[in-house]
Amino acid sequence: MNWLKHIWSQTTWGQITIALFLICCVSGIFIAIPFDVERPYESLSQIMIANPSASFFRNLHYWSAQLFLVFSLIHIYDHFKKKEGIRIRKGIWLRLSIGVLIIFLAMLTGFLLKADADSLQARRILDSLIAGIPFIGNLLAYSLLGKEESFQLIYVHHIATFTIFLAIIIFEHARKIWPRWGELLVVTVVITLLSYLITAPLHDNLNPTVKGPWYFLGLQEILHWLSTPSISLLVVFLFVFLIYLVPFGDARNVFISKRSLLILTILYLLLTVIGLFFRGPNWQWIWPLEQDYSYKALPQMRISPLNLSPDIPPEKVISSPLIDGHKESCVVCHDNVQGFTASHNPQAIGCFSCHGGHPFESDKNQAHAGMLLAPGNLADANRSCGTTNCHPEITSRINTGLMATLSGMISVDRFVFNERDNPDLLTTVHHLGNSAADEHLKNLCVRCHLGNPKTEAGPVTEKSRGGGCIACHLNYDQNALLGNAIHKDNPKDTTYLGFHPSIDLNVTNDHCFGCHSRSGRISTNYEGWHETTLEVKEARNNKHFRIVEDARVFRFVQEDVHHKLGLECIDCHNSYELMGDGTFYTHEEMQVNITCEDCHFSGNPNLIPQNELDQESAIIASLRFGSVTGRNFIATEDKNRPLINTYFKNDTAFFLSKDSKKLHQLSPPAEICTRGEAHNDLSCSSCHTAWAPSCLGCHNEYDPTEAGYDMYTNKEQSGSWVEYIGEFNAHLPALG
Amino acid sequence: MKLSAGIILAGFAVLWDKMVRSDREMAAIRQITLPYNPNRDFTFHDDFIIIKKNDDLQVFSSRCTHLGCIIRSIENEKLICPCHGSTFNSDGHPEKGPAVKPLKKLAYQLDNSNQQITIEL
Repeated sequence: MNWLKHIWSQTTWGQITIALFLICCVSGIFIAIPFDVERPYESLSQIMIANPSASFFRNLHYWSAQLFLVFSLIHIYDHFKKKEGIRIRKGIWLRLSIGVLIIFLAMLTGFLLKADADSLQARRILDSLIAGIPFIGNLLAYSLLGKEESFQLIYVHHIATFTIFLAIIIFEHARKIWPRWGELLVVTVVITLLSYLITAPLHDNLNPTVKGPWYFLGLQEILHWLSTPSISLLVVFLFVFLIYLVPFGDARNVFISKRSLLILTILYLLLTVIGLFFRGPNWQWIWPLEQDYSYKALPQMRISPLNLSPDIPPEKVISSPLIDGHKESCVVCHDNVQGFTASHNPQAIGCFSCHGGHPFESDKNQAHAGMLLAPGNLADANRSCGTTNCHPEITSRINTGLMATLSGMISVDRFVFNERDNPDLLTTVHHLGNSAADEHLKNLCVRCHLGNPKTEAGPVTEKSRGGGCIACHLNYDQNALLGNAIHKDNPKDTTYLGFHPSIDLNVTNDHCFGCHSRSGRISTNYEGWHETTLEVKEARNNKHFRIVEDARVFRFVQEDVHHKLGLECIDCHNSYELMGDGTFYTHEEMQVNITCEDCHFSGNPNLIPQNELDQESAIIASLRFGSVTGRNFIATEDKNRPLINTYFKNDTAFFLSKDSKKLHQLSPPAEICTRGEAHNDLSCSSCHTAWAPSCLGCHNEYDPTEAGYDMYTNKEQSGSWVEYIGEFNAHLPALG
Repeated sequence: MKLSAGIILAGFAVLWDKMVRSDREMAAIRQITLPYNPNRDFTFHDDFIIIKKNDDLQVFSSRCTHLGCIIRSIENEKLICPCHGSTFNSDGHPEKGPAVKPLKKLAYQLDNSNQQITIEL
């Protein structure tokens, strides 16, 4: 250890800086071998996935460069502090001052050469900033950055122009270019360790947060507040000018220059901290305790030791598809998975866009770290289904829908418990407290909100509740079901990895059943089943009874006429009813906008031509039915929503079942329904409802000794509301 | 001596400027034609955004007028710049800074029969 102490006592910040510069240059030469300036982003992702040695050199280059910047600044500070050390000629000091700017430019061009989402936006900012310089801005910007689609000139400046300039400056200043062996050895060990443990970052092009390099986050924060960004260049030049002024002039000027620099540096560091830790997507303020904070705000860097014998064969990486401009380690291994629809084919969108994880890892375990088992849960839907390239317009509004808020259910329950004087108050399941009504809801009712996460692989069943997007859009085919079943029996069996459930538009009655066979029981009523108080053993092997997975027994009464014709729930309900339309509603009748009269109309229907469909309806229509060019769709009277499975042609209205594609002709209401004004104030269901369920003697009671369950937090608790069943009846409904 | 050096330097500067101008002109793309989907309210491309509002169609440069970042996301019908948070309404006007200028409008020709749009860049 004595030799280490000796080095520490003898060395200077400048010596360490020179050692870092040398390591940076040498590692740069090595990384230039696999780096392809024609395809920078792709080649870097390829390096990270398939070439750990190259990845190591990249890390070495990255970390030595970052520390070179840091130690250069410390070295300057050290010079200023030891005033006697500053005995430099004006010309050299001018070049050294400019050299500080060149260090930043060398670093920045390296950052730009990643060509990921961060770098591309940084390049545009730099281009605009420099182009804003009067008279010569465009000339300078083009001479620095070159053609927009090319990285050639940036590469040349990075490896030659700025590097050579820095080498000359260092030599002119220090009169040496070779560091001492001791410093070089220590610095190399430290950088090697860092490079082995922490991989240099590369943006996945999916994360919505765009940030510049850490040393320019202060500038990014300044620019956020400046409508005239060219002012920021003055700040940069002021820094350089103040550095230049420090050694010269009388003591007072030196003092002012130093203090100004110190204050500016501290302020800049503060802004850097803000940019680094408190800015998220769209440069919005974000607090560390907010949901997905680390994903949204922090650089995607973590301690993950390099795997020098990667789990991925390089030849498979070469032939793997490009996903959003980069290679993705997931699809290299999972290259032959079946079951997807075209729009969710991983050969096009990768696995990472839905499941997260680490797309540039070559190590199997690290690549799988932090993955989402069930993408689409509302808590993380913005990182899966709702990313910018996919369905952000839906995930941004789905939380306003009643299936996510349960507003009506909660509001009415609180009203019945006499906790509110109004049953129409807007609320959400996330605002449940500990009142009697809220505990009642948590014990018996609120498992069914869409935000309740799906936590296990497997198909949607009669027992399923919640699950976000995949509550409705997940479908297992026979292969996927078999694979899942085998995996459950034998977790080591990997057959299931070859068969993925489909994410698609086939929303069947089975998807609705889990939640809607409860409460109002619309799913079972629609299919003709009426709940009984019978035991399973009493109904087994009797075709008039249906036993559902939770052991409730239903008796067949009479099915809805639409069900008899093969229609499913999804045939009537549109995407804005089911996934919310951006407006918070207090009750179901406000959110649902389809009525019987929309299809069974008399006179002329409300129509929307195909070329006037809203974007979402047009996409769904074409995915379901192929080309719908020239069609006139019937629209709901309420909110004018198109019914994309209807059309009006030659004075006749047609209806297509969404899943089966079966064609029906829509019939007008019976003549008696519209004759005169006698039935104007009656809804169709007043006459056409054959039966409705009701219960007599059913009641709820709180039992402090009962083992309970909080359906919102999914945790067990002591004491619970208990439901006691009386008698279920299926009669004509009461009017009024 | 200094005068000669100045003249030589100025000559090089003029040549440098001419070279860059000429190279930029060669690199410039004038127009682009691509399929047009009339059902899309917002269509994002690298260089432009097509916005359809009722029957009105507008094409804007996707470059934020603050510092040129590409805008490719929308929230509540507002276009948001990912770099510094400027917000524009669907008419391209800035609603929240730092940008103060509206998005640049681009000229276009619509070919309804072939469902194509040609945009002047």
